[in-house]
Amino acid sequence: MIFRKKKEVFYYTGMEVPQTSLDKYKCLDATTRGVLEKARGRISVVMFVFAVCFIFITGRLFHLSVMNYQSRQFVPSVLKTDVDFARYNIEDRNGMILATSVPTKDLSVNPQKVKEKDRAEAVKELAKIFTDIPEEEIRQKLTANARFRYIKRNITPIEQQEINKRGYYFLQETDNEKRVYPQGNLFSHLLGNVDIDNHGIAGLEKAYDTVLQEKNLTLSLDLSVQEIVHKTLAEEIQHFKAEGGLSIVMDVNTAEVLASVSLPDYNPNLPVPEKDKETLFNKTTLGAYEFGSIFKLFNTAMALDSGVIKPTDSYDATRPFNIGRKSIQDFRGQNRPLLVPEILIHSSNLGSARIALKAGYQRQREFLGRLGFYKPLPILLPERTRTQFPRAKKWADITVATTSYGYGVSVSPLHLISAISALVNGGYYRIPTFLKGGNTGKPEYQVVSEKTSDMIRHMMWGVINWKIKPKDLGYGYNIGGKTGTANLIRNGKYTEGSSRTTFVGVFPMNDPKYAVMVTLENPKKLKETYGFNNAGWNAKPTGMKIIEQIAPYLGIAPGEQWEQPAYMRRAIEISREKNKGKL
Amino acid sequence: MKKIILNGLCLLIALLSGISLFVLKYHVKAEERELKKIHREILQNKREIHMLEAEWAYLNDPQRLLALVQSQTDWQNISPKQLIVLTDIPMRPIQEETEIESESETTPETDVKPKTGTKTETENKVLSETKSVAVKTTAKTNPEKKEEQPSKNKKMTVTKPQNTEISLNSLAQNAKTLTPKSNRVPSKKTTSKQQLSGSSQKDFVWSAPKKNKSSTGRTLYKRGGAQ
Repeated sequence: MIFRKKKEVFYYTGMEVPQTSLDKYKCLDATTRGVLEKARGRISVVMFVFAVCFIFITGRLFHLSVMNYQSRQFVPSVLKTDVDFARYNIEDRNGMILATSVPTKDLSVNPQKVKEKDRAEAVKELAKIFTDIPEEEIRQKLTANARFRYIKRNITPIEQQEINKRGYYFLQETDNEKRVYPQGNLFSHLLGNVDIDNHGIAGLEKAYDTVLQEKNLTLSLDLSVQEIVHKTLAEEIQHFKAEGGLSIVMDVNTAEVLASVSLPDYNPNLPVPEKDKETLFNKTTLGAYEFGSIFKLFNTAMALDSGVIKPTDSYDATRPFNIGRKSIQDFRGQNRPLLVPEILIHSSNLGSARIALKAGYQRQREFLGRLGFYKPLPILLPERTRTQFPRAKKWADITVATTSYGYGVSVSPLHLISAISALVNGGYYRIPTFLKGGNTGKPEYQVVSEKTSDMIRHMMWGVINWKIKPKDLGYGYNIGGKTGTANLIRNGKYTEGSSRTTFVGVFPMNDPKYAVMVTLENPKKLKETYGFNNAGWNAKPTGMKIIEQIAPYLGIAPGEQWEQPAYMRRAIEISREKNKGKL
Repeated sequence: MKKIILNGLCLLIALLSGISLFVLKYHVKAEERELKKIHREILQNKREIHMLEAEWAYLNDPQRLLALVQSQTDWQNISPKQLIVLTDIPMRPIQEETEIESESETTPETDVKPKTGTKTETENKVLSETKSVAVKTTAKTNPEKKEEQPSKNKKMTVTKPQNTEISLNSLAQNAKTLTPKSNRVPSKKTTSKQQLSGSSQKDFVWSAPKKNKSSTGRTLYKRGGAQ
């Protein structure tokens, strides 16, 4: 307002000066007035347009800076402060790093730029720095008819320093990353590996490839539990002169895998030599095995759950019987009628076969299907096995009988321990997971009723504890379990003497928290095992050792006493009475 | 006059705001340069932290720690026998009774485990109130006896504690019969463990990694140079 000059109206000579400003145009002639009014009109239109534009801009500014303040970050675009790795860390459940990437350099050469007079010296010097590359190879790279050749990828800081000292004009360094596994062998199979371009090629690295390109991955595995399991298993494999072994520890209530070891293994930081290729095989998920007597648990659970048998029933195991041409017999049998818990305690093939035949093939087939034994596990891990089972629609009696004690159906160890977890945790099946909190939601489905699960738990307790004098009970951890010994198939035939022994233990049995599974491949008969190579003599002590070491770590107290139901007390009483001499 | 003052004022304001804007701009530029520098440092630090984390994980390798521990100490695994629940710890003997005090010199805790191997447990509460000791005795179950009367209510596998109230004098007498602590090794429990593990085992000892393992040795990364 202050700068506005008073408007001066032009008056033509001889005209009357108007009295009021309102009459100012009246003094103009018609044409001038018309032109002026037209111009005024145009100006107001332009002004209106501009006004609208400015109002819009102002509104938009207000919207962006005031109303949308929270959603938009008005950070000066100077630099990002987050390190962008091509691949993020894999951590255990306590945040310990299991796999990480460290920045490295790739060294390359532009052979066209190498001058003739420098070549010989450069080849010599480079060969001195890179002792692992033959001199001839370096010479070829420097003389190649190309514009680009890698001399070495992921050079070490020391090598880089040496290269920088020499200052060769034809060499280039480019950024790269190298995947490093600080624990070496400990998680080799499970974590898998990456290729030179940091893409997962096996194991969890492949399963969670896209996730790892964006953020850290926290696994359900526990470094300490894994170490205990790995160490104990390796020692016991050596002790029993076994060919290999595997072990899994699982949280029965969430189906989270706490430890998974497959031996022999390899160091993922180093290239695996051709002769050791079989060490790459992850037995826990890629192997499909027959687990022998452990299937008696499933058989008993199936029959109990469907109401075909009662825990107080007894079945004849006096002498072997034939189905067709095949004879079914017990290993060191009791040769007497056995109660249902006793069939598990003494691992009677005869009793299990009789129960299975009574229940019928349909129930058996359906139950094993419910445990997920006919499909590969629905996990992301690329190393998954297809299971093997009788394909026929109607199972023959002999198939039913042998399946009841663990021959004929081959599943992966992870299948087995998931099914055992479901049996003891109240009957709720969950898909095993390797991620922390991977299974917090509802269980997949219920495989057996809580009542059956309860009975199975008592029977598993009895299998482990029946030999212990009642007054000595309650001193160790409250463990229950089952052993299984299966003959190995060599050249398409079961071979006597060679065995795959398995132990599955659950603790604490009164309120199951963890399941431990141990399998030894072809353990030898030793003097101290009295010439036996059954699971009770090798896999079971190994499992017990593992449990005794991991239980304090997992916060499980020993000495929990547990009241047994009448049928269990009776079964144990009878077993103790009949086997007085052996105790 | 008024007009001149007003115009001068406006000019001054315009000039001032112009200068301040100029100063501010250069100030912001300097600050941004500083920020850039700090961001670069943060980035470098984060890279270094990342490397150190990898190094830390490598140094925390349980096998390495175990070797270090073994070189310094004589540690063994905890066996379940060595772990008890808080309520299993017996209470101290009462100080007011002279009879007990004289006895407690030889046996400082009333960890009364008579030769029979029964568990005793005193409770202070009861002591202070009734001047008598409640002793929880784990019932010694006789399996042969059980067979004569396998009643449904009887729990065979469970060692159910029986509360019996006895006088202090009798406790003192009981304490007199105690063997010295060194002799009270519960030999019976080792047998139960042998049965558990299925073979005659000593206490499980962490053995040194001299037993050759399948590991092919490990080199995380050649160290020594700055990255």
